[in-house]
Amino acid sequence: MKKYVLIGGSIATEGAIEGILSVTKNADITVICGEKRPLYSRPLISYALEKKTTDDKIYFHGEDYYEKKGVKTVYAEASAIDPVKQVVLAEGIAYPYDELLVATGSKPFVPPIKGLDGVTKKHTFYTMDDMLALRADLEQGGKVLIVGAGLIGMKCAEGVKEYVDEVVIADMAPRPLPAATTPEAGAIVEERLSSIVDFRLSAALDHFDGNKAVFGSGEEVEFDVLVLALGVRPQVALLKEIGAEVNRGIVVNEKMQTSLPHIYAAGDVVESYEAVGENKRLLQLFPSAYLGGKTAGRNMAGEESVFLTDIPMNATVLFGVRITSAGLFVGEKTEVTLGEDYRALYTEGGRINGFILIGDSARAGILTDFIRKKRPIGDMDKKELLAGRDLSIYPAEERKAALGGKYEI
Amino acid sequence: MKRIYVREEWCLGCRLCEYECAYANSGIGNIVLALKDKEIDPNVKVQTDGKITFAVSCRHCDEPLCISACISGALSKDETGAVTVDRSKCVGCGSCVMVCPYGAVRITKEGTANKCQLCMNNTFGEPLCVKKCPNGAIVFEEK
Ligand SMILES: Cc1cc2nc3c(=O)[nH]c(=O)nc-3n(C[C@H](O)[C@H](O)[C@H](O)COP(=O)(O)OP(=O)(O)OC[C@H]3O[C@@H](n4cnc5c(N)ncnc54)[C@H](O)[C@@H]3O)c2cc1C
Ligand code: SF4
Ligand code: SF4
Repeated sequence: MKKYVLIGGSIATEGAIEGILSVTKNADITVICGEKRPLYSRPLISYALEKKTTDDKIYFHGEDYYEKKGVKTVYAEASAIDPVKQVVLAEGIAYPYDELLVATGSKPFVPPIKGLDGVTKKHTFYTMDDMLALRADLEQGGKVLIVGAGLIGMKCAEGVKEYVDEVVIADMAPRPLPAATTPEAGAIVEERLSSIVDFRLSAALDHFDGNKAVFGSGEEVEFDVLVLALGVRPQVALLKEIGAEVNRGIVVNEKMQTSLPHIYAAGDVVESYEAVGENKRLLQLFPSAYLGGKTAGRNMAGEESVFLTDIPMNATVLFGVRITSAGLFVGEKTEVTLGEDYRALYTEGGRINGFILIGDSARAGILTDFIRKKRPIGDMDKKELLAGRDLSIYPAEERKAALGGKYEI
Repeated sequence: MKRIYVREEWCLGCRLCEYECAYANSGIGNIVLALKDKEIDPNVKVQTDGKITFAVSCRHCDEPLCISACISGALSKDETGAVTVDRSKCVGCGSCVMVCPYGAVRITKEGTANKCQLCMNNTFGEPLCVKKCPNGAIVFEEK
């Protein structure tokens, strides 16, 4: 039986397990996971903090997912890969593989900041353990400072508000969610949330003085609990050490193969092909991790599979404000405002590059499909594409074939 | 697997399927009580390109993008191949809506996702929209 070793234990790993098992049931799969927990959904940690879901529900496919799939688990850090002997070392034990997946994901980035050592209650927000530690401190009450207004910082804030009234969110960027919004959309989000959280934007953190943050402008913020949400970095060390091609992330081809034989990679750790910009980049998103992992798994099990439709995309709700976006915000901009809703479409050369919707997102996936597949929009009215969209915008023959069961869009 | 297929050329756009769907999923045993004076939000929606009408519901894809994006495990494929939603797990993030190329999953006013489950989740056990379509414009078949 072919031996598969998967280093990771998160979304990309799950995708790979599903990919392998879709090709063959005859597989000897071992997951080596540094986090001592069965598979769980990372994005759910903020919902668990907020008590919008329960702690047990983070195990989104059941706590016994690996057993159900017949997958062996080793809860330990992998320390090295020997690509010649084809083994992975973890706590002194060598695990042999025929095909290896590196899905080590990311870790929160914590830059050296003067005075950070003197802060008594400090946290990052990436794992379930991080969430539990933060919750324990929040239960003591007090004032919270979150540095970083990206998706993770903002989702964390939503949970934190369940425990304390005063939450300050600071970011160097001039708007919340800088990566997933445009200046226009970011301004709307900021305005809608500014009565709930205290934003300090365009604010560069300089140092800490005890439990006080001092910003470049001289502004000071006192806090009881600190959360650093300054972005995440891919965990590339295992492959870098053995000479695999690595840029900001591990370089993979469309089959999710690294530059080394029998070694694949997927998820937050890779620089993968991004279909709108047509270049390699870090996407670090849940669907990318799952689909990249699945592609890797299929290829590892001997079925040819490629992943060429990866794009940035994000859907979330922050304090009741729904924000949905996909693609790149470049090209000609068309905007509409419908009541409380703001929508913008970015087009170029007769195609959609991206969109952002604040409020109702009904049937947004049709626009996402146009982006992923580079479908031409011809002379379609862009405002109508934003106002409402349905299957009538697909070419009639294609739609008929898809609904008639002759083809999947 | 058995799926709902659309025969566009037979659809008259009467939207009876929408009402039957709303009734089938209402949990109320009488169609009049279930629908009278209520705004319906069915899992099947009749759409038009200006010339032709067609009833759109979840395709129960072989490679469902909705599942690959679902952060809560609320969406899954059952042993028959049907894509189901466990609304008690859903956190309403809308990732499924962001990726479904058919626009066939939505967030309802309760704040969670809903979609066609082929009437396997209600007392009818087979798609009522298909059964009641007077024109044979939607069929439930193995292809
Ligand atoms: C609060 C929060 C909210 C999010 N919300 C969204 C969202 O709404 N939408 C979205 O698209 N994305 C979201 N993300 C991002 C998403 O969770 C990640 O893109 C996804 O988890 C990446 O999966 P992965 O499998 O690549 O790796 P990760 O989830 O990073 O997991 C990597 C795993 O590998 C293990 N590991 C690392 N090194 C080793 C080693 N040497 N040996 C053994 N094990 C090792 C780690 O312990 C970890 O368990 C969110 C993230 C967070 C933190
Ligand atoms: S909801 Fe959409 S993506 Fe999911 S199975 Fe149905 S048609 Fe496919
Ligand atoms: S809205 Fe619900 S079903 Fe849809 S992706 Fe989010 S958690 Fe899953």
